[in-house]
Amino acid sequence: MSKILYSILIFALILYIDGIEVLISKDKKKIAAYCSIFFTVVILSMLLIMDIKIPNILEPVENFIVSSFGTH
Amino acid sequence: MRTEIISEKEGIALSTLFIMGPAIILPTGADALKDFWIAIILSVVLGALVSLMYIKILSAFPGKDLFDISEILFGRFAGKAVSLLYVWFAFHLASLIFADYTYFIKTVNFPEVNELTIIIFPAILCIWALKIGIEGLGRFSTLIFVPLCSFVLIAIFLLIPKMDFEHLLPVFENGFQPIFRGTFSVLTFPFAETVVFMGVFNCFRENKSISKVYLFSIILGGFFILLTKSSEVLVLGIDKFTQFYFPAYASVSRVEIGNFIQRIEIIVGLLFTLSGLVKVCICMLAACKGISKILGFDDYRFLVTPMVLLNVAFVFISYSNIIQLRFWTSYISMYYKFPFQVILPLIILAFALLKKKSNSLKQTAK
Repeated sequence: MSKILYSILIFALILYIDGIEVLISKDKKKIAAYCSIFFTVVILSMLLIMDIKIPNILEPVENFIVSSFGTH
Repeated sequence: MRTEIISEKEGIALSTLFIMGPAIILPTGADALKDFWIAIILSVVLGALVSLMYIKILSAFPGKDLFDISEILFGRFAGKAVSLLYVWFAFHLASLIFADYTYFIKTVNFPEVNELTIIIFPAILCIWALKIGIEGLGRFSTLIFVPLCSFVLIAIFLLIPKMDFEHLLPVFENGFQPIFRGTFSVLTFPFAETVVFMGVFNCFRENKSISKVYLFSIILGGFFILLTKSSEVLVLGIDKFTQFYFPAYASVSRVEIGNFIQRIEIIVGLLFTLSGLVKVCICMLAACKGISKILGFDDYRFLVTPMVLLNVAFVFISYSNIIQLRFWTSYISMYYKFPFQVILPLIILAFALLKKKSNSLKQTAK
């Protein structure tokens, strides 16, 4: 739990340092783009911290290439 | 978008460091076994040919980058889809370098340290560099280029007493197939990876600078890769060269002159750290620029922090250990990268030539 709290604090700090500039620009499109990427990062990081398995999107590519070309 | 201008010299330093990057420390060309040097020379020639294609595309649309060009050629939606593919390519390439960074430092220096602790420092530097932009990156590359190249030459010179030229013989021992495989592998990593520069090379004052920068850096980068890989094989032998995760580090660690000049493998670490940083910054720059153009923004800088952090998270999802990373880079990446590096640019070039032809026909009709 302390790990999660610690990470939330770091993300809040990043949002404060970097995101504040975007937030005060009042450009809704900009804020939406920033927040959507930022919160994806937050969610992914939380899942990684909690050791929840996230599907690897490269796996299907890997399987396709191995089945098509082999590995040597 | 604010216009950023870099000089030819800065461009050459940037792209040569981009090519050298992780290719300097990894067993590049190992597929060709003892004939790795033939594979590297062939891939330099093929890399130059492929880069002529990139030059032709960029020269047809002066001042435009790949993302603008794909929208001009394919229209709004298909153009954005092509841009998205290249954003993904650049993003994934950056994650590969971040992973190389992490596992290199973890393997050779800090085996006990958590991966996130290692990766966060280059990530912060990358964010900082991207906020400054390509002009800052260009100046940084020019500053470090000559010292780094000198370090490589000095290290190779010091390795001469440990070299055994028997390690290169016999030539063509395993036939032509490994050479072709090695050539294909070295072409896709690192020479044709310069496709990423199509997303950032709209920053020269003159259009002809693009061809100079592309060709000169491929030749220079190829020369350094050939030199370092040759010295590694001559020192270690081909078996150890293919077995080690980081043969450059292993070979340079053997330098010992009079119990005085020794433990200079830090040079390899320094070289990779700096050139890898340049490479990761270029990839992330292309990815951020692409995303900002797809979403219709006039500046990419506000997207840099979340994009780099997303990349860091992506590294941990994609490559959980060095074996997985090595499997991807050795067996998968060449087939995966080829469509982005050759097939898609060929399609773009065909469309560009068709558009040029139809435009000239329209002008003559008028």
